[in-house]
Amino acid sequence: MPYCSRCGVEVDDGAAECPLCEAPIQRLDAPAAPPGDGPYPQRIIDPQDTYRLSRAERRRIAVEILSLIAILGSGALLLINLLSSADLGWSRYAVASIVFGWTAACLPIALHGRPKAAVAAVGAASIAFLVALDAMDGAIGWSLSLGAPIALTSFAAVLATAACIATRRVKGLNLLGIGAIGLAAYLVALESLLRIGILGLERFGEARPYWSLVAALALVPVAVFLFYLHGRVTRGADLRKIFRL
Amino acid sequence: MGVKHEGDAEAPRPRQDPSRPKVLRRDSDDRRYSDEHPWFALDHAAIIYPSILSDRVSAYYRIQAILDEKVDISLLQRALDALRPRFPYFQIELRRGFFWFFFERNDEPNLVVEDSKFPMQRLSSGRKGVYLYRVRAHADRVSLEMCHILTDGYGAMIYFRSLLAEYYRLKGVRTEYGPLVFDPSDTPGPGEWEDAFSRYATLGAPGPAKIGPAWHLPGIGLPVHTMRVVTGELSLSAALAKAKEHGATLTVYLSSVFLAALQDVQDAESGNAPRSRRLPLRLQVPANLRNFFPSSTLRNFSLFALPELDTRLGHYEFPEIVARVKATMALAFTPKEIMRTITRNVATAKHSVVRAVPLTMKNLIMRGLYRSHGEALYSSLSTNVGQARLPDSFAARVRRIDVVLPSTPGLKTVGGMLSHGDALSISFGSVIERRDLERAFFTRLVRDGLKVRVESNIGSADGKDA
Repeated sequence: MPYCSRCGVEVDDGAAECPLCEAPIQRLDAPAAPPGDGPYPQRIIDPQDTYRLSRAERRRIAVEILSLIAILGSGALLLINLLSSADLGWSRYAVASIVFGWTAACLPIALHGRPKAAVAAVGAASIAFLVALDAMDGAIGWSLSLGAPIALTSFAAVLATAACIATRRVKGLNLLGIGAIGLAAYLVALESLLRIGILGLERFGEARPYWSLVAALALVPVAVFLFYLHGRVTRGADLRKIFRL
Repeated sequence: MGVKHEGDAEAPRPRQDPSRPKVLRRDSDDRRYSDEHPWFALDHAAIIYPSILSDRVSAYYRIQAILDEKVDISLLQRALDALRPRFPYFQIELRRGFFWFFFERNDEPNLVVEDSKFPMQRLSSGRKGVYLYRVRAHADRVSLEMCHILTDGYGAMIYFRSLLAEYYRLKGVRTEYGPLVFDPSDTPGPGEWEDAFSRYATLGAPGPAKIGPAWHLPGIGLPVHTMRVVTGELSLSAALAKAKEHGATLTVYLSSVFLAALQDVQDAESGNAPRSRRLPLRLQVPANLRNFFPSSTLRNFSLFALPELDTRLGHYEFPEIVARVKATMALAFTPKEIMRTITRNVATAKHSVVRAVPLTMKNLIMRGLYRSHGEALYSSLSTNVGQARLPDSFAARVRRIDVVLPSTPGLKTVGGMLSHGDALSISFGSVIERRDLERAFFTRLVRDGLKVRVESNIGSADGKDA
């Protein structure tokens, strides 16, 4: 019977290494038993392990459930509206919201593994939703001047911040700093868009951004302080470690 | 298929007590006795388990016998079918009520399942028709994987012995039935269904003393749905002689080696850190309460002692550990001390506020309590099931019996011992890559002069890549 010279225990004839210390087993006499001739089968999957669904199956089921909820909810709202007022009034807004919710939930599931495509699709769906809401009263107005630009800017700010975070090799307090810079830039852009949308491009110069600049001036020093902490004090320590409960 | 022995033919069932009424059953179609209890409550030791079940916490343990020939699956299936009506309290599925889980009779077939590399994985107990135990086979090995929700090691051993007896009866080996091997055609006694904890809880008894958290093994977890099993086989007579040398029983001796191995790992892990910062090492050593309180229940009825080493005081030599373990177990395993824990567990579950909490919230609370007041309090678990006590009629045809316990992410590595003939089997179930506890344990036995043969279900590469 072969044995481990480090642990002093005997091991199976077929064992290539010690089950305790992983040291290779030296054989001076008998040849090794064929692989797979151990005490347990090599079959990894449990024969009764059919209840664990694959990730693709789970995604498909999630889309089915979300679709069913959206269809039943929309149908119920439309019928209630028809019963009470004999035409489609408020229910159109509710159904449009449900459809947008369904789209925003299902698109990332359907486009699993393609994050850029999923983000682009959800962004396009958001703008389409805003335009659709705006068009329901018969004319398109605020969705083009305010809704779509704000939605696009929000997406751009989130994506730019996420991209910047992704490039960092050491993820610590610097991520909070990047988030603060991203938020400051977003607030300035948001106030500018609001002023352009409300006053028009020709009167933009009359009212310069104000509150967003105050917020940005508060956020930027915070970000600088966080970068300093990250680089000099915590020396790039992991966030999970710092905030471990 | 198994090798057919000459002269093998189905043996008639011996009648152990001719005065008792005898009912011939038609295998598992007979629901006469399970009809008496179409549903029933979990016992007081089991109520915690459904809440903590997950892909990483299975609560299934395993008793496996290595036979002297390849297992005949069809005969094993027939034996399982014949045995099921005798144990109606195991022929159930787990259901969710609004306030508690409960058992409901299960009429689905229970098929023998082929074994797989990683044993004791959780079955989907939320699905209808899923049993909380299963019989598995691979080559010359028969395994019973039993969920702790159903019963403890004593109940599982009776079921396993009875299963093997019926299997060998079908192969032509006649076995006398008795209290350790049940006749499949016999009538289940009403006491077998009993929640014995309720019977022995004494209102007003003080609870056990509060203890703080214990040290836990470090280590990176193995992938989910995998588990390493390391089994060491040694001579029972040699181990008994060694235990006697130390003035201890086998359970005390092995528990002491386990604690000493934990101390070795803690010493290696702590390095030069001050001792004052160390947490105590505490081992959970379960015991069969039927030895202290008369009961014929086949459901859970076990509690544990918690021998500990406070390593802040310094390094413990082995004779010191043996003395501590021996004293702790002698103090813990007395009816009065056991009564404390029984009463606390039962009184908590019967508290009107606790009962009124919906199950969804109970699950959340119990998961938290399991971590803070369960696993956190002990470093590992070591159970000595004792002797398999197989009937003489087929004992020689079973080479070895193992008990394998499932580990959890909290405890990481746990051990179980069981002996048959002169073969003492010690198995570790582990969910971490590191094997230093197993190595420390077995190498201590080797250094103590015992000859150990070790096997595992995975090699080192498997554990990391699987």
